[in-house]
Amino acid sequence: MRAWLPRSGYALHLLPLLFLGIFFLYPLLSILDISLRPDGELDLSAFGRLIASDYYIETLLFTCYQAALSTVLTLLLATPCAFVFARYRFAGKSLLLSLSTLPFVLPTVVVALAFASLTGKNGIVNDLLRALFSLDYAPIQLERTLFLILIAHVFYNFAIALRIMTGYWASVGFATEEAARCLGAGAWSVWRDIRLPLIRPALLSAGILVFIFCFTSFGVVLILGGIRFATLEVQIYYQAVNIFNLPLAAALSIVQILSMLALMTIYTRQQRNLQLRLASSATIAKVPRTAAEKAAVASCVGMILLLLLSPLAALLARAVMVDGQLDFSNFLALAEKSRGSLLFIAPLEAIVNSLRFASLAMAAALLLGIIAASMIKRRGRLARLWDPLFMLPLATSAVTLGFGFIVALYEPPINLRASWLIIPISHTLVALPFVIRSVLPAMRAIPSSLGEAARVLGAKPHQKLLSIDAPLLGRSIAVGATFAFTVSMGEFGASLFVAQRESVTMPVVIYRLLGDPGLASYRQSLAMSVLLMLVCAGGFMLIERLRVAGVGEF
Amino acid sequence: MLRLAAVTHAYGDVVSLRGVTLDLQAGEILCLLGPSGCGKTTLLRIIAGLEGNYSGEIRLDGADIRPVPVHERGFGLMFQDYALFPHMSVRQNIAYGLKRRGDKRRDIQRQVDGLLERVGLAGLGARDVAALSGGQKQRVALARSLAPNPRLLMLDEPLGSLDAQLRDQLALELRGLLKEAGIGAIYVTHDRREAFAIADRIAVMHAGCIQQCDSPRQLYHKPANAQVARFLGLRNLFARAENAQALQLAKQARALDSQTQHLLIHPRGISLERPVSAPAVDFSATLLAAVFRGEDWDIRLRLDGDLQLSFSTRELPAQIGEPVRVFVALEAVLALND
Repeated sequence: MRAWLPRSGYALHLLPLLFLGIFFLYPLLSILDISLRPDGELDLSAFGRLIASDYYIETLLFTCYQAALSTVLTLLLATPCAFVFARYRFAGKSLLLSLSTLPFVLPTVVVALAFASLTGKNGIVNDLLRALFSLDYAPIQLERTLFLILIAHVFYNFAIALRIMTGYWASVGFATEEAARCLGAGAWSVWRDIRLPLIRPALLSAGILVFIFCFTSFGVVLILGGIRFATLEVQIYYQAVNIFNLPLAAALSIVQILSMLALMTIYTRQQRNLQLRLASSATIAKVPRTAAEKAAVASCVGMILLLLLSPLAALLARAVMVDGQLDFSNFLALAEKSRGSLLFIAPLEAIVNSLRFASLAMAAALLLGIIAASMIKRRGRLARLWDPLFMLPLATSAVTLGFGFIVALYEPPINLRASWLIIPISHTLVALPFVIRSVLPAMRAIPSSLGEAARVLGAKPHQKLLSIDAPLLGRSIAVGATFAFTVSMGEFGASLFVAQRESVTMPVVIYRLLGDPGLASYRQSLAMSVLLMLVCAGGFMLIERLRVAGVGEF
Repeated sequence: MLRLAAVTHAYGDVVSLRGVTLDLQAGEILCLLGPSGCGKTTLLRIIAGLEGNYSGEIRLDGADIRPVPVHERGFGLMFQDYALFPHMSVRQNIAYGLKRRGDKRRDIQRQVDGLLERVGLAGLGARDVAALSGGQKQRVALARSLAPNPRLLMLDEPLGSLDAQLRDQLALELRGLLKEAGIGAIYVTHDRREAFAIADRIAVMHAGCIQQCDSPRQLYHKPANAQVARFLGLRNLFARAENAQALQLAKQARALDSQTQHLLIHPRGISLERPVSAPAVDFSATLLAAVFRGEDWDIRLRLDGDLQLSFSTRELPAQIGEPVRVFVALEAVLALND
């Protein structure tokens, strides 16, 4: 097969490889180095302390525990919904399915704040209950509880589980369960004997993926849980930034990286299994007719709307309503730095920062992503290596990335300590897999014969590139670009490490404002969150609009 | 045994069944024959209890079964693509209905062994169903639906996905097994050869209506209308207005009435020799085309007077373009409505 790039483009291949080497592998190796040789000599005491201390073992156990609970909860809710989505046809189904993916692009700080606005001490639910029953206290006390973290995790991961299982279920079909019913199986037997065993591969696949996401969840746990519910991620951040115990943070990062590697291996294996079992018969969804069927569809739709929209609506309401009146003063206040704030700049400037960094990260991720995708597209032993290599940043937690940056890139030979460039660079790294996964399928879908036909008809390599490849890839490149922009706008974990003083981004400012005392800061954070939510929702709508059905691996 | 009256069903605005009335005797094999989309599978699903939202009556031995849920009807249904449980072995598939019925483990074991023997799969009980050939899958599906001794067995194009040779052989086997078990069966197919081979009676369906329900022989010899004749692939069907010579022939046969829109000159009544017992008219004709079919020839003639007739004959009577003499039995001239 002909490569997508002309032969003279080989030199270009060095670009993404160098980028990955300097800004991903080097920081990771630095973490390894600092954990093993904190003072230049082999010293395993950091690991020793990890193992010796119950506290860190408990941190690891708690990380697994909350991820497992979140996973179970997500699957419990998503499994019946996936059945309804696969089985029935109803108005607004595809809109709902697409809407349920919205959380995927929402920054964790925004989601955390949205849940606080809904269920917090002064949240909408408590306000309503107080007004209804004339109470002088908040009846629902969810702040800093594990329950709130779990609900936020469900909010994030529900759509992932729903999509994986709905698609698989539709492909497995429903003939077997009808056969079982004819053979005397009642409703319960059908679930136990047929449905659950049949979708087991999808259930496992979704479960592992959700577990991975919850295992590395940072913003949600940090804001909603605080240090009391420290997961590995929060602990790394805390050790590195608050206590400045770099060797210990590095050791924790190594644990994190190894856990992720193990989880990703399991996931990849399960994924292969999922594809093998995928049957070819397509199922035609049916219109719900009986009262029970209609009730199932209605409760599924209601549940999704409640889960998805209520926190976002609460956030919006809290931001634009002051004392029960529509009031945009929260937004106007973004231009000023509130008194007593720990911020160095007015929140408004952070918006400018975020837009600037996101544009840069988008451009860089596009350039590197397209080159990388064309490298992966080639056949051969090297190409098989590139794919997992370029996907690695996706499997590495944002906190590990950020931590790696401050250990590796804050001193010679590469000193970016004083440079704002470090932020768009970190965002590029996070966005790169998204660009590759958006562009690669489209690139693979272009038959090589098209380019060959153009060449035979007299097109020079660059003319073929411009007249054949570029138009055919246009949409998927736009999807990749929007992904990159949106991901950069919402990136929190790495930014929290590397964004300093004047160069802070919107999510970081929201987090800092939450830490500030006083109502003014809180209101600013609400307004900022709404703006960020709108940008990300806009990006999301653009992606959904541009995405060609069936193409794109997200 | 089973009685359907005025069963009507629609998918949204599309009416799939219009007032279907049907009887099934105990132990009888009834075929629903029709082109795809004629409503035959829907009818089957309604009887099974898998499809709601219909009007009309369904009675089994006089009792209304409409309120009875699928899993309590005790009917067997064999699906088009078999719908074998992919996560169970052959044995587990066959045992499933017995298990749901609450049979004892030892009884189940014994019954499954018996069934495996009966369908010719003895020794394959432990196999994964994915590892079976098409014909073997079909046998497992049959054994599975026979296992709980259903009061009625329904089969939805059970040989549809098999190749033609295997289909003929299995159709015969299937009839043997059904008759042996003495179970009343409704068999859906779009293949008339298959229907003729397996059925006691055939109900030809078109556009949600039953056009004719008769024995295979009766159906073939006396199609009730043009629709049925067309579906059975009978040649020499003419629109009344289209051909004066055919009309003349029909008048001679006294087959005509005022509503008749089509005339069928049944190929079985056309021959190159004068029929011994039946009254016939003879024509001089020209041989237009002849196709060798192995056991016989398919030939087409043009009668003097322009009517063209097709039929089969053992020997080729002449060369193409040469004259021949042809006889049409008057009883083979049928007047049909739409």
